[in-house]
Amino acid sequence: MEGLFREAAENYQLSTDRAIDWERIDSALHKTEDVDSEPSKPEKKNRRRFIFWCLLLVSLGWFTHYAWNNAFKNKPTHKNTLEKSISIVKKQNRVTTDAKISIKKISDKQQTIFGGDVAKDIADRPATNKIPKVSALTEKDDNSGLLIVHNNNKNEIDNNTRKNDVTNTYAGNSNSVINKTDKLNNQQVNIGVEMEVNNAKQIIKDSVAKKSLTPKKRVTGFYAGLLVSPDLSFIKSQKISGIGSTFGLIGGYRLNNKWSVETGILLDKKKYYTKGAYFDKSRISYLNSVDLLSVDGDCNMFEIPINIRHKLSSYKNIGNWTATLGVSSYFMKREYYEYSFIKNGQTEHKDHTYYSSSKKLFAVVNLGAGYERTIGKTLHVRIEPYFKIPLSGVGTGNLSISSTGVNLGITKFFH
Amino acid sequence: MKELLTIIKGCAKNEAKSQRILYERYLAYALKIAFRYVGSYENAANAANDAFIRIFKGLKNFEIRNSEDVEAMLMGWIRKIVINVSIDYMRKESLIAERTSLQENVWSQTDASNGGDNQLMYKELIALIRKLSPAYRVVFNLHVIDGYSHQEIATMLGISAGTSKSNLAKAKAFLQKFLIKDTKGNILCFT
Repeated sequence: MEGLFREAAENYQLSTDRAIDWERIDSALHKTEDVDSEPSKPEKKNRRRFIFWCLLLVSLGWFTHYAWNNAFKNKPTHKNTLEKSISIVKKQNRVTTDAKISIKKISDKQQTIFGGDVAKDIADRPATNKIPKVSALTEKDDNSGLLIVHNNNKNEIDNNTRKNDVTNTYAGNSNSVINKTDKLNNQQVNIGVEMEVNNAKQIIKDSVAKKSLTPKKRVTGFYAGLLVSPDLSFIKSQKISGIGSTFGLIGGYRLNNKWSVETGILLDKKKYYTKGAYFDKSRISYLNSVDLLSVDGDCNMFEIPINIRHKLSSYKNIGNWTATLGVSSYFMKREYYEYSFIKNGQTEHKDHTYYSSSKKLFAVVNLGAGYERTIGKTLHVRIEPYFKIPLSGVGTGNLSISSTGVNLGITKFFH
Repeated sequence: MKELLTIIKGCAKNEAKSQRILYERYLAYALKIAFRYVGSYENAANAANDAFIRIFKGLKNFEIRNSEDVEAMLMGWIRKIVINVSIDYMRKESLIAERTSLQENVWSQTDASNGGDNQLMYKELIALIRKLSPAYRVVFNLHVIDGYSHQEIATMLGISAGTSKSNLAKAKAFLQKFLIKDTKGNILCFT
């Protein structure tokens, strides 16, 4: 009986008319190849979407910072400074009841501008032989639009410059006294030296000089904080398998106002996918004799970064644009892989978890650029898109893992 | 033989022309194998085409040890893949024993001068195999027709060797009922 069935199986004939379907096989073989040769549309779309969100986040951060400072912080304008000065003058007028103001018109070309703080400094400075006491502050002349610092001592002021002396800036200019009647209800104030300055830059110079008198803030020192970021990892521009994460502690030392060095200890969870060709099978014996099609994997590892941070520019001393460059070492803790392979003509799937403790020093180069904002005196928050370029393979499959994401961190500076 | 070698090399390079030649040459062979397992023509056609996709993808791993036996090696390799795909197909589709009769147009047309009587017998025997339940049918095909041992069948199907033997015995008993033998043991007709 068995022989008969074998003979029947060997020799019976079946029509292939309804079975032939070359188009299906052709599209499965050759359209798959076309897709493999370049990044697939979903991969391209994911990449474009990620770049868009990174740019949007950075733009939002910049815009929020700009809007915050302009809308919510009521910094005094130049006009406000003048008004403040005038209010101080008025206060003084009340005190000096018999004070009179004399203002003299000067040419229209001259424009004298004084910041309220500078003028006040002149007024508060004690009298010396060379520089007389200035007891009045500023007054705004409605006709000429001038702010005038008056001094009741008409003696000449020494033209020799003295370091860090604000008034020397004015002493180099010409002096004149303006007399004006009945402008402020015949009140007379002690008048000071009227100063002419050529342009508004003088004020900035004075402000800077004034600032130099005050003690400098310390910019060097240690800082520490927390860092968290979503992580997207991929291997050789292949598709992204899922979103991982990074979390940990960072610490650094600020060398000066521009440069700082930073390190930390981070726990990375990465997810990735690769075709079999990029996975090193040599460490897995049962994969050596099969055709590995693809691998889906994820891993937990510690990362030790060593970075240099540079402040590119600052905004009103409360926000900084920064750039980061460095390297990271990986210490693998756990890997999980799902293998798809062909064995004896049949597609099979197998998964395995590896608890290895392999390490790879200087595994990736870190690149980052972002924005850091100061909160209070010592706290800083940062948002920093980053990209990690692999220098070598890691893990059981010796995979070159590229990563990207956005670092969100908060640090405290220790004076 | 050289021509076949050239075709195989072309297929390994993913040349569509070579692949089509190979496909048209061995489709009938693959279809016959798949049909014994899955039982229906449509499912057999799907399984055979799926097998060819896998064959062409894996052809670069096909080793030619002796160029004189290329065709035999190739057919053995195709057979293995088709059987594996057919078994996968049976699992996926949860096929049950086919009780519907086969349409006449699935058979290839033959005349009397070409062993038509034998063909009639072959058709009947294959149709008998089709009546077996999937578990019995696959074991019968693997062991009796394709020559796998019970241990190999157990590994392929994820069953024990004992279950394989048991299923085979039941399959034979089922088929035996349909065969009438004369006193010399020759099969006379089918009931």
